[in-house]
Amino acid sequence: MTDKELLKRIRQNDPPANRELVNAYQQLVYTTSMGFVHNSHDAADITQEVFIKFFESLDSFRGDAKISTWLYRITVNVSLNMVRNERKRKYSLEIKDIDIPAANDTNYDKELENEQIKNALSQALAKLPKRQQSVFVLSRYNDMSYHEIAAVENISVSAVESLLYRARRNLQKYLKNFYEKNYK
Amino acid sequence: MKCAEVQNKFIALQDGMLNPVEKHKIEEHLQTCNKCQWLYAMLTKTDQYMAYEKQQRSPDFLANRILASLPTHAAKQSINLQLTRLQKIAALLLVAIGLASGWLLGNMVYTTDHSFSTSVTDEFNLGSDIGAFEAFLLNQ
Repeated sequence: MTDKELLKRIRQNDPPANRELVNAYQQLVYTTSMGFVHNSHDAADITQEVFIKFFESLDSFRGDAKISTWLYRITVNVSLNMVRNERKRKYSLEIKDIDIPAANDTNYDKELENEQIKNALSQALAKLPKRQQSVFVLSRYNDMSYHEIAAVENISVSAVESLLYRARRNLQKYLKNFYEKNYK
Repeated sequence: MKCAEVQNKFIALQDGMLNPVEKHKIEEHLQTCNKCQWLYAMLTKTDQYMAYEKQQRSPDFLANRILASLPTHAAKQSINLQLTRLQKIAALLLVAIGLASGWLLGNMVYTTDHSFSTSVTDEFNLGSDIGAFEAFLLNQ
């Protein structure tokens, strides 16, 4: 079924069409939001909010773009808002707050390491300018091509290329600073 | 090679974009420099962590939760739609009332103007009658 046919059915208040849309795009939205918030609880909340916003904006959606492009745009905006609010609340898992693992507990070691990496990644990504952040997440978490990212962000392909390069350089710099400061 | 130089090539190394000579030089440096080796390992682990997050499936309950939140929204939309329709009708009524009032007011003004001008004309006629009467008296 094409996007237009699906949209037509949704606009006619056809509940199975709503389910088809959610089933088709839920994972895409969830994975993208995961790239911004790095935890399943917030990613699920964002996914729900994105679909509600999608239905709210159905009237203004003319159908020129693909449904996925529209959903990506909403996801990026909702996720960036959540990241901004999180930063305001100064949410962060400090290394000193982590329990010292038991000596032979390799699972715990791995978990701790993942927690440290997640913490570093969240803080480093949040430091990137918004555009760099979204271009990076769309590329890394959704394997989107430069053309697809350009359509979502409404910018040129060369701008995507340059933003992605700068995002990776900056991310490496912030990660390096973070790891050297906290874990070396 | 200096550490900064090597670290600048990490992205290219991860992407497999280095030529064999450059790659060999960097790998050689990584074997001898603990600091760069450690940093490269951390960056690689961060990449692996992102790959792990990317593979996470959305929870099974999520689709139902989303769908359950939509009917409320659909109802809201229908209320909004009804409100919009009512607003349109109200706007049309207001325009109609405005036009009707304008027409009535215009008519009233016209009638007043007309009666005013008629009374002026009558007065003028009266005035000319008085003039004629005076002339008549003078002639007498």
